[in-house]
Amino acid sequence: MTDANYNGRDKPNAVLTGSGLRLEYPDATDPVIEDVTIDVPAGSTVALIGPNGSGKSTLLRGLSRKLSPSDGQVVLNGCAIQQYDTRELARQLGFLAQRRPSPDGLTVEELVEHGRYPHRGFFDGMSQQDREAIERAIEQARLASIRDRPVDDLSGGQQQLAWIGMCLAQNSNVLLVDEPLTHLDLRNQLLVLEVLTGLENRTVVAAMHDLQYAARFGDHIVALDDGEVYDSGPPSTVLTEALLADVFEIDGMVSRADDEIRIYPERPLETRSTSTDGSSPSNTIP
Amino acid sequence: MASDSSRVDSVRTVVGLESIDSRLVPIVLGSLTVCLVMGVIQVTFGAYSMTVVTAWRAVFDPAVWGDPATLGRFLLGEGIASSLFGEATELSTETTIVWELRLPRALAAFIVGINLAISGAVFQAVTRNELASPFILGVSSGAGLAVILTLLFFGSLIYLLPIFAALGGAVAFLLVYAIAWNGGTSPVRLVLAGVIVGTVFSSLQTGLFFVADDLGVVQGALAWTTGSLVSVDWPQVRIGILVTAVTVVLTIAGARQLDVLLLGEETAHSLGMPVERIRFGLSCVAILSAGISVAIAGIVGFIGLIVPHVVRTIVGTAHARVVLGCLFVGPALLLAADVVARLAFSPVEVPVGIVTGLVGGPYFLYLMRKRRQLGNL
Repeated sequence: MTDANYNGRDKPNAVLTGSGLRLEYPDATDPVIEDVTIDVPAGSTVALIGPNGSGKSTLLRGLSRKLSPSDGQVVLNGCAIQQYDTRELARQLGFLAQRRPSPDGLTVEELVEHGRYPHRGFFDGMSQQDREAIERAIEQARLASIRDRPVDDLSGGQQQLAWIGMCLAQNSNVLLVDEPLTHLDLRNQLLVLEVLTGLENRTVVAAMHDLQYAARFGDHIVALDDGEVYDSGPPSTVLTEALLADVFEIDGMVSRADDEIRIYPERPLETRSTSTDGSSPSNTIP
Repeated sequence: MASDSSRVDSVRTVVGLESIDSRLVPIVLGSLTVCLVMGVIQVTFGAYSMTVVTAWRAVFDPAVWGDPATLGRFLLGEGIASSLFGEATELSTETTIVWELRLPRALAAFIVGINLAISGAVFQAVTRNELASPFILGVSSGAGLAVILTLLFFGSLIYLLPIFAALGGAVAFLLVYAIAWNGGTSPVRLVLAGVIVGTVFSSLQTGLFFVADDLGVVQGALAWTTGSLVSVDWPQVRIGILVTAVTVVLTIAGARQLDVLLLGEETAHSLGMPVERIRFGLSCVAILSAGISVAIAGIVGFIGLIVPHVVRTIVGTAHARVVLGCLFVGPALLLAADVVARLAFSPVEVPVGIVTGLVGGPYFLYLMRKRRQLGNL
């Protein structure tokens, strides 16, 4: 990408970095993520944006060791991520997948309790510390009023909050969340957004569809285009009309009034390439 | 890491006491009542009939309880007991019948009931499929094939049949795992591999029926694969108790792992679980449970499928409660089924597997009517 002006210099306060990442699935011919470098500053909120199939989820899977990179490496809190044992990794990094089964009859509180898994040995019971972390998570995720309800009886938004509560009880300083707002109604989108932005001393990376929410959520935005970083930086520099055209292939307007970025999508542009058809080059920009 | 001093609850959790709640009490008490009633029926009635009082006296006969040599003969075996305590005394006819024939059978039902139920609970969680049974990963077909092979070609080793059956089941399980493995496994891959191995082994087994000249061999194999407690004796009970102690402790200890597995592999992994190792370890414990059941009673169907299901609908999904419930409901159901198998069509006895099958079918019919959605697979 000619526009990829990401500068890869080391940030001393980055808690999670991926450098030169190449991520691919065993059955696929092309890598989903190619030569991606990303720094996640400590205590920041990072929104990962990009159209469907741009590799947001795959990048999150690579950063959380669900998928090992065929090239490049991920460093978490100063250590290569492969060197962590599974339990230790879970104490430092939480990951909330977009889709997950919901066991019948499990209550919200029981789900949140499972967040303590990496802190408890095989035979260990619940310690005072576990109890406190659970209570804190229930409060932070605003689950107090529904803590005894079965998760599968709840609305989509409440379920999302319950799972976030589980991740919060895990007490990791980094949390990766895949599409936390998808399929939620407006109120619940805002609620989840508030919970995720209201966390102190935590670094949260979230893949997001909606640019408006991404602008509100992220101190820092990373825009992915077809498996590569198109641009990254604060919302005011990344969210531009050029981004709408190049990455999302739409015509639109971006305004910056009263410190609030507003995005007005208008119409789709003519497709610049058919990404499913391997014969046409994918980098012909109109 | 949390400080150790704050782990006040740990002992309670390990033995599952933390999870005892009001929902568990009625099924434990109910099951114990059923066990007691069925146990009394089982020792009282039969070809040699006696009154309940006589049977009760025989069970608590001081000639057994008061004499370490006699009690030891049953609980430890002839060899150990006689070297420790010397010769055992003669017993009355009633006491002999109760202690030699009826008591071991009731105890065996208890042991097999526990193991099938907890094995089913584990497999339903590991495969995330509430219609899984202890035999879903090839155990029954492996055991069945081993039995017919032994009867056909190694007739002289027939006294080792239970061990061969359990080994056959274990081999089939490992084969299922090897087939399912592709840089890791998943519940669906495991179940499909179970179907593959099950189908091939069952075909081989049925094919061998045609090779057998002797109809007795076929009938023997058939009785074995239907599941029956007719020929159990103290040796099986003794080994069964030892193995059960191990499987019960390990299954209860693994209860929280099962809960986390049910959240899906992705989540379990994110929470720091070495998913493949835990899943294989728990499966091995469940195979040990299934294996000892097969070795004692052959392949008794449906207990391992129904019991965890029933328990879960009453106590919820948390496995500490599910496993504890299974420890009581499993034996109650199998004891009751065996009473029916032994006495209902007297003087003919039917294999207990037929009775459990006849109970299991209607139960699922009832579930189908009551609940719209059942199982994920």
